[in-house]
Amino acid sequence: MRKISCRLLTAAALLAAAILLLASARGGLEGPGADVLLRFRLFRSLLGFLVGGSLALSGAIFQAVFRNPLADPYILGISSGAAAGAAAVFVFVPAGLLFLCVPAGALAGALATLGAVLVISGGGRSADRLLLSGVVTGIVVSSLLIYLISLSDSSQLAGVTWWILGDLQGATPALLAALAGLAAGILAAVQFFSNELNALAVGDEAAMTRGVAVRKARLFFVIAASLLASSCVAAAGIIGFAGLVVPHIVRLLAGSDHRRILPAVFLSGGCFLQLCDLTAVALSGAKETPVGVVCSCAGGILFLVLLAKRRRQA
Amino acid sequence: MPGGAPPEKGNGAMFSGRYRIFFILGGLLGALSSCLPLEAARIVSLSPAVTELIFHLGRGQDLVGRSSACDYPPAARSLPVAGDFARPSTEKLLALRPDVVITNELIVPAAANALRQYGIKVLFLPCRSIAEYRATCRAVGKVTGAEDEAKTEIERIDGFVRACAKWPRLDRNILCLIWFQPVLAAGENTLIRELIRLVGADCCGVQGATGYFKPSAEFLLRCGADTLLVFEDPALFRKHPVLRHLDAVKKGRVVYFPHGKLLERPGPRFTEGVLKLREALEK
Repeated sequence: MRKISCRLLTAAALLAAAILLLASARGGLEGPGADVLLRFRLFRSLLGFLVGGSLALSGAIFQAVFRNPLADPYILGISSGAAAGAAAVFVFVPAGLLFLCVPAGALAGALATLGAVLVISGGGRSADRLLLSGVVTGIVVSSLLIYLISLSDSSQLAGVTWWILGDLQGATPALLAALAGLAAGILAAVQFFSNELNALAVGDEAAMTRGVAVRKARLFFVIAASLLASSCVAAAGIIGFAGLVVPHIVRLLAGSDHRRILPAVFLSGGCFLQLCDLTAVALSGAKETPVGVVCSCAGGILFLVLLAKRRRQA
Repeated sequence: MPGGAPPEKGNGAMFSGRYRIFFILGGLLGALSSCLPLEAARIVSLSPAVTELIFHLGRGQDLVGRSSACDYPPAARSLPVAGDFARPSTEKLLALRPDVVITNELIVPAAANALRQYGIKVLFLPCRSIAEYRATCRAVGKVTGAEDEAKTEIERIDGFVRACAKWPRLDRNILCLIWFQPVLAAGENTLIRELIRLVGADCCGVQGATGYFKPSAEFLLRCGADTLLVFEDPALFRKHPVLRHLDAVKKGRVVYFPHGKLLERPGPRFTEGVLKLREALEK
């Protein structure tokens, strides 16, 4: 398949993101509360863009570092840690503090899990060891989550369940600014070291022959990708598949040179989640349709299409 | 017999001669006991509403266990706890040796099946409306042998409903939010909405959403409710990114009702809840 230019893809994704932002602000905006609804929809769409982009970038980094096409932002158990942190807040913290404490608890859970993975793997000595430590830590933390769920009453259970399903309704200007700053900073840093990421994607020995300090580079990329995933989970709950499928689509369209594709991955991931959110809003009546469900469904179908296409090419 | 195993006694010997008379007498006694009125059954109630009802009917002494959610009347708190109302501990239930376990459709199916395997009768009493409360009264009256008391309770409820119908209408279109993290609203087929209508107010349209549901932001901003009925401190709602923009919140038409359990729990005290709600809405 002939690859398209990365600049073209980046420009197209940027244009699509802008169109989707405008599309989210259209329809049903007459009558009482229109101004509030407009602001709410724009914030929500922007949060979807930032979360989708960050997850896709995180997935692309993990796939390169672990040289594993099935790696996603949650491969090191970040999502389980965040869910356990959020569940602990729902179960143990008084109702009045939930607004602040749930994102903080999720972030703390995700970062604690990352810390545990790094310690267990001996500071990321090898990719396999890191991966295995992540999977095992994820399983242990999941059991903690299940235990916390077993302790919860019906209202706490509803809180945990809906949090896990993913939600973009909590968008505020402060949250958007914080997430945008973090995503921009990490994107710039990863782009700066994209040569090292390319080298790691080929293999440890090849990277060493190119003069890359493999262990340090791996640690840097794993921490950067995990920070992105943790902040996304803290802001919007667990949203699956965006971080897995978007990097594959971008690589299929524009090649696998990380020096070129990282901005396109970020923008495409943002568009993908914006589109999923628009669909979720369109499907919602009085009852809200969780964006995480739409995203997983669409991502799963896309992933199956990609698999079928690769099988045909092989 | 080579191998040294003792010779087995023929089963026929057990059912012959003088043993036969015991079996026949036993069968006759069993048949007779099934025709006699039920002795006081050992009951475990996992449903808070049913626990209240059993005490209300004067049969609290029949209860040998409860769920952790059964917290009223105070006498109920002294009963042993057999686990959560939806996820009871089978071991604790078996230790209480109940004849009947009363629960609702929320119980984990595996727990109900396990109880049945040990010969314990599991009685499902769904109770989401006043009509279902009447049916529950009848069923509980039958199990506890308090059928007259159950009849009296049904008459009390019918009289109360008739009295409520005569109250002047309240000019309020109400959306009831039972929880805020996540925001959960009362939809159709919930006791709360039936009781709001009984009070004389209107319920905000929910586009067919049933049960307790998580409303979309679009719905909340457009539902047209002029009053929010909330069971949590309204200060919490003012911090919510969507709820704080609702007209009802901006105009201060948020009715904080700290007695939410009286409306959520389809037990004998719902009449008290209705009176308190009417009082709160009239203020």
